Amino acid sequence: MASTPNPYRRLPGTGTGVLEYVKLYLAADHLLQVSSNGFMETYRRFYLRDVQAISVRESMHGKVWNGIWGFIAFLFTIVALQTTGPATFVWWGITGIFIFLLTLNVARGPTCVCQVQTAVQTRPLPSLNRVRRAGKVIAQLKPLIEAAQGAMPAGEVARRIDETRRGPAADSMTPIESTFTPPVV
Amino acid sequence: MSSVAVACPSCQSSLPGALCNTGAIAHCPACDNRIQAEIFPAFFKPSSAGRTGETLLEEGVSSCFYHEQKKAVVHCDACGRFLCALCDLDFNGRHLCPVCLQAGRKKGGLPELENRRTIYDSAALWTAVLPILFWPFTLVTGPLAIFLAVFSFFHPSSLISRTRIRAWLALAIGLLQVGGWIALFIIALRH
Repeated sequence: MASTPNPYRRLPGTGTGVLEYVKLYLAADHLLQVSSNGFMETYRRFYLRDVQAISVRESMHGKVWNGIWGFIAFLFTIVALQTTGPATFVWWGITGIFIFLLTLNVARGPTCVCQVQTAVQTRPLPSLNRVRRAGKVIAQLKPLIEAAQGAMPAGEVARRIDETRRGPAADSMTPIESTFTPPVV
Repeated sequence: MSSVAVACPSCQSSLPGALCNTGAIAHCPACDNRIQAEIFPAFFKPSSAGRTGETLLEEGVSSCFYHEQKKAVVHCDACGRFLCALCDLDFNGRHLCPVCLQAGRKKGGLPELENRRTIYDSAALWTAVLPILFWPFTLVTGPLAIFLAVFSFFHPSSLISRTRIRAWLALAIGLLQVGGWIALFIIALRH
C-alpha cells in the first residue's frame, strides 16, 4: 500500500500540561499544536497567513526549579556527609540525581512563556518553554510567515508600530488594551 | 491597520518599534522584563468585512441554491450546487457550501477541520502496559488491549503520520497476558 507523505514536520520542544504533553508541528501553511494525554489528541491550528505576532517573555519557572533541585541536593549532601558506612554511597547517589537535575535545568537555559497571536486569539505555545529553543523556532518560522504574508521592510514594521503608539489610543507608559494576553501562571 | 499598539507581554505597556522584530531578547522599557516580540504584516492588515450575496436582478441568471434571490457566483466543489457570495466558504482554496462543510466535519472527511482524535493504538498500548503494575487487572485489560489494537487497524490514527508499532506492541503484550492467564487457569485446574 502506498503511504502518503507526512505533511507535518516536528518542531523542537515538548511542553507539559495537566496529564498531557504538547508538541508543535509545522505544515506547509500552518502550525499544528498537538496536545495528547495518551488516549486522545487535541489539535489547534495557526495558519501562517494569520499569525500577527509571536511573543516571548522570560519566566521565573527555571529559577524556581533551580532553587528546588539545589535545595534538595543541599539537604541530601548534608545527610550524606553525616552518614558513615555503605549508606553513604546511597545518599551520595541520591544527591547525584538532584545535582544532575539541577545541572540539566541550568544547561537548558532560561525558561519562557511563548505566545502566538492571530486576529481572533492569543494562545500560549507550551512546547516553546525555553528562551533558546523559542528563539530557534521563531527564526525558522519567521521567513515562512513572511513568505505567506509578504515581507515588510525592516524599518517599516518599527515605523508603523511607533505610528500606532503615538496615536490617541496608545499612551507610551500607560497599560493599554493588550494585543498579548498576559499568561496565566 | 491594527488600532492597538504592540504591548509588552509582561506589563502590557506599549512597546517602541525599535524593540520589535530584533530577533533577540530585549528589556521592556517599562517593566524591565526580558521579552521578545516578533510582529508580522498581518498585524497591520485591517479586518475585512464579510461578503453578502448580490441580489438577482435579471432573468436567466443562475441563483444560489440556498438563497433564490441571490446571484450565484461559484459552485460548491463537493456537491456542485450553485452558491452566492454569502454561502461560498473558501476552505483552503476550495469552494464549499455550508452543508458540505458541516457534513465533512461530522464524517471526518476534512482532516483540516478535525480538532480531536482518539488514538486507539496509544490507548491499546497504555491499556496493555499500565496494568502490569497491578497484574490481576490484566485479566480484563489484556483482552481489552487486544481489542483496541485490532480496532486501531481499522480506524484513523493521529493526524501526524506514524507507524503501527504501538498497535503491534499492544497486541503482542495483550496476547502474552491472555496466554499467561490461560496457562495459569490450566495449571490451576490440573492441580
